[in-house]
Amino acid sequence: MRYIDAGYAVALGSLALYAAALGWRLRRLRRAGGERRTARAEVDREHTETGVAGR
Amino acid sequence: MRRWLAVVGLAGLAATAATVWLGLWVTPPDATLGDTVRLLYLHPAIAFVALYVAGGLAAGSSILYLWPRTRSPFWDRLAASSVELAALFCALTLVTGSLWGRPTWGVWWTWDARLTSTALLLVLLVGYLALRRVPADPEVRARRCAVAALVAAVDVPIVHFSVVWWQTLHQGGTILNPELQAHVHGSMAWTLLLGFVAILLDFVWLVTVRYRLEVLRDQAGGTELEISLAERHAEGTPAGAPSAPTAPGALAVASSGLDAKPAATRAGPAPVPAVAPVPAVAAAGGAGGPQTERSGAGPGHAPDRDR
Repeated sequence: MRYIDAGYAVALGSLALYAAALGWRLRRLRRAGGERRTARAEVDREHTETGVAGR
Repeated sequence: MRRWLAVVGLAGLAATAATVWLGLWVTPPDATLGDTVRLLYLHPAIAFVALYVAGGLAAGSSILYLWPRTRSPFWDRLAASSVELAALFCALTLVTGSLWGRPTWGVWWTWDARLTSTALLLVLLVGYLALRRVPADPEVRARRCAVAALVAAVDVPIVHFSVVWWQTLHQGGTILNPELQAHVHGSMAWTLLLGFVAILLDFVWLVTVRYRLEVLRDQAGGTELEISLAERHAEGTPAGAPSAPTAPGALAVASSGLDAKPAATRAGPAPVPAVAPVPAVAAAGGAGGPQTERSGAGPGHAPDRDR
């Protein structure tokens, strides 16, 4: 039975780990996207305040 | 879309849990194989998804990307997502097969045609993933990868027919083989079928999430470039001056060397940049439109910057 248990554990464990890794990467990218949007808004605001045209 | 994805994810999870429960606790041992038959509720399903579903999706998407009429980043992203999952499922096929082979055949591995061609497929898929990480222009990379996916796809029919073309230890088609007229009975048949459905649903969920990741990654790359261009642009343009191209336009110029050429020509021969080029702009293809035009404006440009 240990081969069967190992087979199930490896197959389903790998799928679960991969899904978790995907979720983590997705969340990290979304967070980074939010930070970038904030940074861009800041640059735009600075340009408006200093009278230098942004984009 | 999100609700649809959640439904598929939950259905996949429930079907997988049911397969495990039925496969490990409910179904009886096989008359010949004994308990090792329980691994066959997963192994063929994983192999089916790896070879035909993920492999087919990767090959189809790559063909559609290479076909000029249907060329779109969508197909490139879908192919990349499918290949990554095909590699994962292919590796799992080999591992679960090996764990079944040890008690049944007495060996972990043998250089059987089916096993060897499947291992070769895994190597080809990993090669695709390595090629995808090689830095290049997105279009060039997509074209290269599409060709690599098609090369890997050539191995799929070899894996399929390996048990027919060569004498192998691995058994040939069983359930769908009309000569054998094999019948799987009762709970064993339902568990086998449920295993296929479960792994297929898992694949659909994973490939959709993986595709989303690819989209976000592309957007992140594009946004970084956009910000760099905007900052670079803002450095020397006084308020009220004729507005420079908007970010999407700048992006288009930056991402295409061909588009950048007319701007450079308009700006005059051999423009000398008044300021040091920003790496992000230079790396993106080029002496993009806005920068080149400003450089070509001549000595009047530098004081603008100081202002």
